[in-house]
Amino acid sequence: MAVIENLKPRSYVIQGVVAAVFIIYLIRLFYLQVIDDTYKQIADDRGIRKEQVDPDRGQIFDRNGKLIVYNEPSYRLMVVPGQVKKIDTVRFCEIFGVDKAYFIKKMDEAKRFSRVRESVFLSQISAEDFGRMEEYLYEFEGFYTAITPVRKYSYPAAGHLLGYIAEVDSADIRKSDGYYRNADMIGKTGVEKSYEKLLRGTKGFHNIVIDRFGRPVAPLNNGSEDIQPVAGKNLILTIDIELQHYAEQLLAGKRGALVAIEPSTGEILALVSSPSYDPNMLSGTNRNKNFASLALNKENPLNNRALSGYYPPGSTFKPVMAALGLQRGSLTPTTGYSCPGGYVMSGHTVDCHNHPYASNVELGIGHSCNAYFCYSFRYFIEDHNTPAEGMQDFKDQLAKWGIGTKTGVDLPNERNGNVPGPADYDKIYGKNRWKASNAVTLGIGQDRLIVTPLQSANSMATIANGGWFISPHVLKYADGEDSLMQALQTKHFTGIADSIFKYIRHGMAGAVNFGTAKVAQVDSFQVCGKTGTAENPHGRSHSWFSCFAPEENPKIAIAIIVENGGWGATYAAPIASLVAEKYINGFIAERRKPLEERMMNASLIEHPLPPLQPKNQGDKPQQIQETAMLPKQE
Amino acid sequence: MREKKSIMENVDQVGLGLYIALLLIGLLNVFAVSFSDEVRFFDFSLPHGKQFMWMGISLVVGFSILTFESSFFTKFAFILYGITIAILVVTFLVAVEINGARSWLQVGSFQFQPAEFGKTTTALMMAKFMSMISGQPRTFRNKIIAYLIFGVPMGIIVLQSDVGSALVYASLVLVVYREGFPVNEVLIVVAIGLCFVFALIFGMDPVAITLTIGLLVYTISSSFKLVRKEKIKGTVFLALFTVGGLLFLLGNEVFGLNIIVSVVATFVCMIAALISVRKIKYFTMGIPVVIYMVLMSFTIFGVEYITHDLLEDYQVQRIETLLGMSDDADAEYNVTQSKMTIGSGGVFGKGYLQGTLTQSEQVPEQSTDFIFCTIGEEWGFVGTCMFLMIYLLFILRIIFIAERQRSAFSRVYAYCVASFFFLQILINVGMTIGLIPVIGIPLPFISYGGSSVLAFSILVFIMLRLDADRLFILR
Repeated sequence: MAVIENLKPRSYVIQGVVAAVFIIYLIRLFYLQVIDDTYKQIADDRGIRKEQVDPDRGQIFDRNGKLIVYNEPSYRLMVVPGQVKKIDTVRFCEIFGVDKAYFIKKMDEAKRFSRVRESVFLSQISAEDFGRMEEYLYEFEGFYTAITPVRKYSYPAAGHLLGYIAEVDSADIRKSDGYYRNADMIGKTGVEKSYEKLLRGTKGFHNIVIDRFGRPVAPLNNGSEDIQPVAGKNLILTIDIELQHYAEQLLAGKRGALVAIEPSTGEILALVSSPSYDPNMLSGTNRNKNFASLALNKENPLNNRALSGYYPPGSTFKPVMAALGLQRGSLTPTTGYSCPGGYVMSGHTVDCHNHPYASNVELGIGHSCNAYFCYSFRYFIEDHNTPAEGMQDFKDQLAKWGIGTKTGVDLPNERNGNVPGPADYDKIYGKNRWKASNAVTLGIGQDRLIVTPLQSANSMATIANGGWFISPHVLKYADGEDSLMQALQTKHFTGIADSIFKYIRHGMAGAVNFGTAKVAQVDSFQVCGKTGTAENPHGRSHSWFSCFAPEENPKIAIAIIVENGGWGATYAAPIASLVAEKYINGFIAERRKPLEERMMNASLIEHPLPPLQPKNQGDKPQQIQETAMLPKQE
Repeated sequence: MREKKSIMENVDQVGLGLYIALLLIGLLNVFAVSFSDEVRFFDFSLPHGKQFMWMGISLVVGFSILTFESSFFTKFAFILYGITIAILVVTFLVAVEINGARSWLQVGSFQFQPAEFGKTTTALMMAKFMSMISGQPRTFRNKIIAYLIFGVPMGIIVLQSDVGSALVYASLVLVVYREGFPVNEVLIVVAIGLCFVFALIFGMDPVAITLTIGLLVYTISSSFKLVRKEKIKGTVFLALFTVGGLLFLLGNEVFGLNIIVSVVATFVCMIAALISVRKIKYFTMGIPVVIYMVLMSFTIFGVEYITHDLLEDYQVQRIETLLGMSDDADAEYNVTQSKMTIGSGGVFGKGYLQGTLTQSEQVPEQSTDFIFCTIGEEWGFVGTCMFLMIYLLFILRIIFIAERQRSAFSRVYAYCVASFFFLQILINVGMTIGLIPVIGIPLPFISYGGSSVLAFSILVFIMLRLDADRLFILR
């Protein structure tokens, strides 16, 4: 008994805890029901329901006016169980082509969901059946038809670039100042995200009088106060969808990325991240299942490597290094450096391959001599008062090329890359306790230098243009958005004289004609390119190739990386040259067909994705194609 | 005949009255949910009709329980408990999945959740065991057995993916606390349990949670010691620490404070707590407070920062997919709708059967898990207040009944009943008003569902029967 007496206070603790919870709940309820008036409004608009009418989302075309993204109506039969009166089930099943078991099962499901709200009774109805069903619908009270648009893609390509739409999450709703509501769709990545405001249009609202049970009775004032939705704008993109699809086929089965830019305009012709996926996977009924399988795939297919992949540029950086040196004067067009099999430092050697003597800058680039560019880098730095000053200048100069900083592309999730500054070396060696030779491999694009494939392509466009670039972009035309399109045309200057690029271009032509990239030769025009074999901590070297073509009046600049692909000439150079050939000539020469086939079939990855479907442009209704073409004619 | 009459005289009238009041409130609200123009009250194919029928059955079963000998329950506690465990295992093995949980058993056309009935038998077993060891020294072995008695069914129920019911079983730590198990040990068990639950529900990093909860437990338990030694300073510290913690956890949601204000207030309290103990036990008391503050700021600013700035989009997507968070839109929608429905009731509500949102079925699962919304919408704050008061009275009455028992068996059993009801309310109401994540468990006697009403009725009537014999000592 004594024990029990002692424990009495614990009973009060328990009662206190119970009472405390109830009191907290009462305070919360007081707040919800009495103080907070967010929800009061809902009590007031009993009798009138504001129904949201979704606008059509804008369609997307490629640079040649080909329709790539459109909305396909998905027809469904809906049922409100509470409104279903006695119906002739046999006749119903006959007309709607279902059996009795299905009818009973679906009605049961619908009833369990709600008696007064509509459930899907039959989905994925063809347009033809849909028309026939509508004729009989009046016989069956409680059944309605509904048309919901589903995003469709004419090509199984450009998934990363186009992005996808999905239901808004709570963060989207919070950030939108009241525009979005639960169950609205929003662009989550890619073009769908960056041009969300153009594509989404403006919502409409219909005022509907409802009865006590929330059932619609009639439009309010005959709909005179309704706001009609405004359809989203159609976009014309700079990409060439055929080229995009072709490039994705070439990169299939490999991890990597390819970016192709039209140098004179900064227009992105193709932007590939591989492994890629059919954008139709992330639209419509199987979206969730497909999304999970993509998100969990070990090869990260959802990651857009073209904008956010981090890679050391390797030798593809050498032309840029040469341009910096020539402008500075620390390198002259006729400077030659001997290469005894590498750049020899006290301690160790930066190895080089066996090649003839590089007596001038063109040959330095052509033979891709490591020693040559270690010297170039060293003398560039040593031309300044202190190594720190030199390193800072190096970083600043590259920033003008859009390296180590964003290029300003109109797509989400672009990353900066990395150019080390003096502070980074201070951290390793101590303040001012280092010099140029501690960082010479920066000159050959190694060390802490990191670029994205987009930055690499942009630097090729800059060389092709002779020292300037327009921020790469994907939007070519959107009706009534002149200021937006004008903003995309800003020129950025690197401050390097046009005359200097003549040597760089010759050097890069040399690399293709007699150097490391002979495989990239195309018969009908001159390709200027530079291979890269970037050492990295993730296994085999990355295979790089950056190029532009033709040498005079370049039409296309390309950067491509194939992760762990080995030498630049193994995968990257052939694929890039095929893409250039396809774009400029429109076909692949007979001589190079076997190369094309070999590239398409090469596989370097362990966790393949489901194979891409052949493009489904053929079965697209002709009518949609025509309406879609309208904005172009304006 | 004479004996029976004397039992009815001894039955606790207040408890029985509150029970019947709750049953009626439940019936009214289930009717309100299924009400529409053409619905009649006596329609046994609709939820309220079935509910009415089940209430009848429950009363019949309940009153026949009152005719049992009390010793029946003490004698059969073991066997009933054994059967329960067996059925729970069978359920896990053969049940079909309903709403993601394998916790329903089908016998003929009748479906029920063994976990509901298991509460009664587990309570009986608990009562039996605790009464056997009452007065004996608390050996380690005895304590472990006590925890296992509710830990085992709880574990099986977790395996059935019915986290809600499992949490209700966990409420029996209140009972072992009342029976005199050392506070620190009880807190440790609670902490371990919470770690598991958090890891299960939120897929959060178990290490971080263990650390946070461990620190909290450590701080609270060591400040209890402090209170004993340094009465004033210790009490001040404990009070400030508790107020600070509550402000942080509830400031934004419950008191409607701006998030910045609530964080600043939390920090002020915590720093004041630190200052109050600056001369005594500086390290033992101060360090957890500091670490706790760092953790708090990390949870507020850290997660947002990490998910939006440090991680790549696709990485966030991957993590969310792994944690099953892409389904969360549903749960979030439910809570928004639920808060809206309750909030729209205002002070006095819209009137019985006038709940527009209820009748246009704005809240999913409204007749079962979200029935509290109906009360909120139709009866307003006055109604919810009254309702919670009735329930609070009911629980306090059960504790009162427990405390007046001479028999340890009856006392422990009644405490089990009180704990179960407390946790059900805590979770169910907390979820509808958005204070607790959505965990689907019914509101006893109010939610639609035959097996739930019957199971809770049996639970209550056994207690009433035991209480009627309160002048005897049962073993």
